[in-house]
Amino acid sequence: MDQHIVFLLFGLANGAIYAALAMTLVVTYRSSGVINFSSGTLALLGAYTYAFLRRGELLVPIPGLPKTVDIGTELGFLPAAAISVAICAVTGLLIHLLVFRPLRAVPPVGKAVASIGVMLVLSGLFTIRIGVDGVQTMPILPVDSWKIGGVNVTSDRVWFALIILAIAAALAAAYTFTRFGLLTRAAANSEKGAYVSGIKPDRIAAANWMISGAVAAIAGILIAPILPLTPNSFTLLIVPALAAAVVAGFDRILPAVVAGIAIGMIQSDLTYLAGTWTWLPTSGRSELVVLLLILFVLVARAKPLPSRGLNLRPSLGRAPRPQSIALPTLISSAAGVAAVFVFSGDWLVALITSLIFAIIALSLVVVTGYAGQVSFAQLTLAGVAGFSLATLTDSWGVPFPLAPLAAALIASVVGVVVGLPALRVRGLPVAIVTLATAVALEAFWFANSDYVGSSGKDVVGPELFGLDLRSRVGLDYPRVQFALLVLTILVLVGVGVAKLRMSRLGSQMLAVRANERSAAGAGVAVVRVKLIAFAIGSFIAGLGGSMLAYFQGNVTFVSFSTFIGLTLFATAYLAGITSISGGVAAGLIGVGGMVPLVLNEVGGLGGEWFAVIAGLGLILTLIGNPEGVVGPIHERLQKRRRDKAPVVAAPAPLDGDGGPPDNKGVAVGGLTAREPVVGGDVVLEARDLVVRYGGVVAVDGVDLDVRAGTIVGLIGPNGAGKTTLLDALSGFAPSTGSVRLDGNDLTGRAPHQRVRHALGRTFQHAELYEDLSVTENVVVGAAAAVGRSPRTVTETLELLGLADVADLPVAELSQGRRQVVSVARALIGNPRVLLLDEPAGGLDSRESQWLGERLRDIRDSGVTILLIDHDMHLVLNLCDDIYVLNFGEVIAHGTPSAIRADSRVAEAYLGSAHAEQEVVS
Amino acid sequence: MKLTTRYGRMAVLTIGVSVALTLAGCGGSSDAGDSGTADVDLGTVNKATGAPVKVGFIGDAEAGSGALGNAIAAAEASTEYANEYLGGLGGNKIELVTCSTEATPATATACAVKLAKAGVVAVTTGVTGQDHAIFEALKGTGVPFIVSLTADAEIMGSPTGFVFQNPLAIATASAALIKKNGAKTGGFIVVDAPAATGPVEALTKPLFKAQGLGFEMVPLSLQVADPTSAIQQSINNGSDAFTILGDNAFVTRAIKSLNQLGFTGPMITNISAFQKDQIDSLPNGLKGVTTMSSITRIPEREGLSEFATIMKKFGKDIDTGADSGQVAYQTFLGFVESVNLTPGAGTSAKDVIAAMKHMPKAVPMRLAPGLTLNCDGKAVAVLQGVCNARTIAATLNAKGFATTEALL
Repeated sequence: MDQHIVFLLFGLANGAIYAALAMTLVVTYRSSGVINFSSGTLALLGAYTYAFLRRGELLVPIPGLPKTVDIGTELGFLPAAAISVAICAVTGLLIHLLVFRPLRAVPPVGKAVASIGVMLVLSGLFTIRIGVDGVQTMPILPVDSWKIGGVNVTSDRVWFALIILAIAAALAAAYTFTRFGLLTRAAANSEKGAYVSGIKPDRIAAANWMISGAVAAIAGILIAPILPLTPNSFTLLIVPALAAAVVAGFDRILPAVVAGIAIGMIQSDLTYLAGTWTWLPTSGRSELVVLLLILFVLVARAKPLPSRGLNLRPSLGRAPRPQSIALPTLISSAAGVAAVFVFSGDWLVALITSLIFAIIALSLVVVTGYAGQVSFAQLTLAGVAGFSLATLTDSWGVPFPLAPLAAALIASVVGVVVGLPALRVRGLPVAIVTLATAVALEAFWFANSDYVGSSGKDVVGPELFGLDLRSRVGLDYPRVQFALLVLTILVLVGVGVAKLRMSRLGSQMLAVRANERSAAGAGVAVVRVKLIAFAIGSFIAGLGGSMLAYFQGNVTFVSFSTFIGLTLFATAYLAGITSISGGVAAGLIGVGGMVPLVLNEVGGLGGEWFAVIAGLGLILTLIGNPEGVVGPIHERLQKRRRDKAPVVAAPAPLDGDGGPPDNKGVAVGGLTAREPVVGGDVVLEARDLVVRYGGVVAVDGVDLDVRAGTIVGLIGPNGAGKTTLLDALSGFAPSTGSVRLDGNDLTGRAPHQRVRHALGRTFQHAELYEDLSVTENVVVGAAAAVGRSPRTVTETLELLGLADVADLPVAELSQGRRQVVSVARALIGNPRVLLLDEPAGGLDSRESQWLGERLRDIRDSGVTILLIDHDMHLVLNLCDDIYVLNFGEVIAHGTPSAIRADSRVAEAYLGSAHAEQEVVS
Repeated sequence: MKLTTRYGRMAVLTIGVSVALTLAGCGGSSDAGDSGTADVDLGTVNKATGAPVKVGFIGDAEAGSGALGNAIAAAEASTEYANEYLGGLGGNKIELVTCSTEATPATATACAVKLAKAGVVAVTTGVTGQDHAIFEALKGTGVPFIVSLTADAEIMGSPTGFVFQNPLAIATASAALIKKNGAKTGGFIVVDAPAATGPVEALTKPLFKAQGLGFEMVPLSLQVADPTSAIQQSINNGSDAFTILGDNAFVTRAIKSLNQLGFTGPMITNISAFQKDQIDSLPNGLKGVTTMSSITRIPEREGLSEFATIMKKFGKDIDTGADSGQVAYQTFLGFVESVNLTPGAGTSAKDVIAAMKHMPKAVPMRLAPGLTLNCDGKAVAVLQGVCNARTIAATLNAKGFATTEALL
């Protein structure tokens, strides 16, 4: 037991480091929604500044200025620490003003990527300005030795942990009890709300960035005596810190700090346990602990990070649909072949490297660009293939091309496993999981001497039908034959990815990327599509990894390190992660590629500058152009294409033939009421439906009958549970009770399964895929028609008057048209019953009337409709039968005229006078 | 030193080339080992007059880019010096062809190919993380590969590989010191990466077993900042002496943990250059630490001032305290002086190999009083490429200076 105490105490130092960094992560995330991967480098800035001040020098990390300024005297602890904290606070403010404020409307993933940019810039500057020699500082905390169980335990680690805990407690208290803290929390919950209530979220965020800069500096100063400072010594530590922040939901400071300390202690105690538990792995133990913790917390809890009420720009750039495959393929292949023959020596090495990294970047295009899953593990997956290829060729003699295919398949399988957590979590947590996985795989496999020898693993080069395709034969290097092989594979992968983008599966991936709920609502099997994306992406990464292994003739963990992987992700994002040309550009820009070589040869900028340039480029790209470097080119191409196509340009979205009517010639009275239809048999039936959220009962024992061939309205005041009821019917909200459609029991089925049983659904705010065309958006919905024939696209578009805008991107349509597109997407799956959530939301009365007519057309074509809407005029004139919901219960049910007359309905709406007016109008 | 070269790369987040910057395998510059400023007499001028002969030198970074760039810069200065004072290579003027691996295997292969195609009679380097790739590419060309230290057994055992420091020396010397101190079990604290743990496991473990000593491997993950628990666990397992292999930051951390644990047994390391702030941060300084290296740590010893003078006279802005420069100088001139023992050698790769294989006598190694090179293949049994079996063991005082040195 004594020994356990000793080892747990030993773990305090590492734990306190994780805790300190986790604290800065939480402070930053809470105030500005940024998972700040540069926290570690910011702490390092504090540590360096402090260390230099203690030597009597002021560090100036900006190139061009003198490296240090002599301040004449070696500062003591307090002044040095104070100045360092102040400098980091200002740096935090600058980062906020220059990077994250301009990126305020960018989604969390974009901000996280920007923070990687900041990290690259800072650590690049440290490398250039300070160099890589470890800088060490004197101990700050008292080092007394205590004897426990015969072992010396020094007090400094205990003090360190206590100080971090104290700072965390003080910060937490400040956030809880001060007005500033209250404002921060308010702004964190809803930036829009904060604006409305007169708080300036910008100032709050700025102040919080200064606080997190200061906290980072304190962390850095305390870490400095433990860990020699090198430009990247803190960057690795961010992963356990992320785990601690995840435990605390990126929301609460004290739990994050406690979790950080606990991780350090567990890692330390495992070191002791490894002595007795010999089954524990010799390498990668600590990394596996971190990964398992993250997995456990994220997957078991499956709670999204607290999100913020913000108006966000579409997350990634548009993923442009290739217009044709043949021509671009031909042109780029020809250019590639020409380049292979023109270049030689270093230039050919750089070209081949570019081609290989382009292949791996294309895997990111599939996984992240199309399916929207942020994966930091793609280079690691390439490594899985690389190491597998070494075993396959060198140990088992598997020939080309079986070996790389098998290696890529292995990567594919591992990739699916890596992607499994993405089934339970969404967005940034996926990124955190993949990062931790990459780190763990690297430590446990690539850098584990149980599996890999000291000089790495050798790879036997490819030969096919007597054709020698090896990268080097004697002094013939790099060989044109090998370059052509890599080029061929890149072209094949490129064509494959283009085909994927144009396929139904591709549309489904983009649907998942745009909005998982609405994709599921359209009948897309989200889980399957995500896994397929990981499988395809990892296969592509595996092909790239195999080529890299062939190129080098030997693999070590270095070529596939997590950090190069992070850099690759950053480069791909910079180049344009949503398109094939972006993937290829990423190869050219990236690690050891053509552009760095040009920079070096022409610009005289050595490799150490490249990190800084890439980081800056990344930040500027995110601010100016989320589609990456190739984005504007696509934009121009598309504009030219549209200009050339008069048919598409002609109809004005609102005034075209099939579009909503303009003012002229239409009575402004709105939809005319018709005699309610009684309808056929009950087609959708709910019995005793109950939905509970925590202690709140949102839907309370609702019985509902929808008869075939009718339009049924669902109304009620705000918060009555209308959308929740639709969610329960369509399987998005967990409920008790039963739901039957056409006699089939749907109770307990997943959303996409219900959709496939012919229960169609749309969402409030028309959750469309902005970068897909109208046709593509609608086609995604055809996935719903499993076992039935879908309606044809033409038929659907014509029924809804969308034929003239079929090829336009949805982003260019009017609000009215967009609503109709979402209806069309649900309709093409040929549903028996269509659930519409506020189809007239945001429409004016003309548009709403036009929509009503379209809905009648749909009903007349044999589809039953259940709709929620706030437009009482529309509901009362359009519906054949109406349910009124209040506090989760049905308070009235009947024909429009009966509802109009029901006093309970008016009562329910009381307090909201305009609604009452609407009811009686 | 080689053992540490990959350590740096692991810790680097960056794009390709800058990875190389942390490769300063032997760990950067040393304030303690910095040499005096007084210029010394370089002796009689002996200009090279013969037709130019090409010699290759490979570094992991371009000259001028940080600590690693020192290697190529030092090799260039050493070439000028050799052409001026040593009669070049066998009387022929040395034309140095340099190349940087940028720390990637692909570029390293390209370097080796480029040099071989240029017709160099030998490829030299100090220490590089890319020795495997370079040697693979040179195989079959007949061009010899001269390296200060490697852990690649193939290079050590090859007739065209020449290794100037004995990779086994740290093991044998550790064993000797452990016995001398009456200790029983040696703990080897190394970076948890195959390039570091592999050779120790393969070379040291059998040697310790054969000598009746206990052996404990202590691989440290770079993800863990404070290594105390792993080290204590090794002490629990019986280690009463430690050998620490890594760069100076890594070694400093381990020594600090040992100090804090109150460990008083022998501490041995491959690092000889520590910075002042690193030494200051250690509770007991470097007192009692033994370094094993091919470079002397006694500032007054012969050679250091000469090195500084040569770098100043023939080079520009070379950090003479940096190991990478010192090792490049030692290796390059060791090669030149070995070949020059045979008159007329040095015009072809074949000649160079023959001259090195049949050196009429051993050549004193620069910066290493007492160490000599002889590449006749007899220095270490089985490993014909190793030219020197011994190492300088310097016991340091608290401030990191050696007062005495022994050859082990």
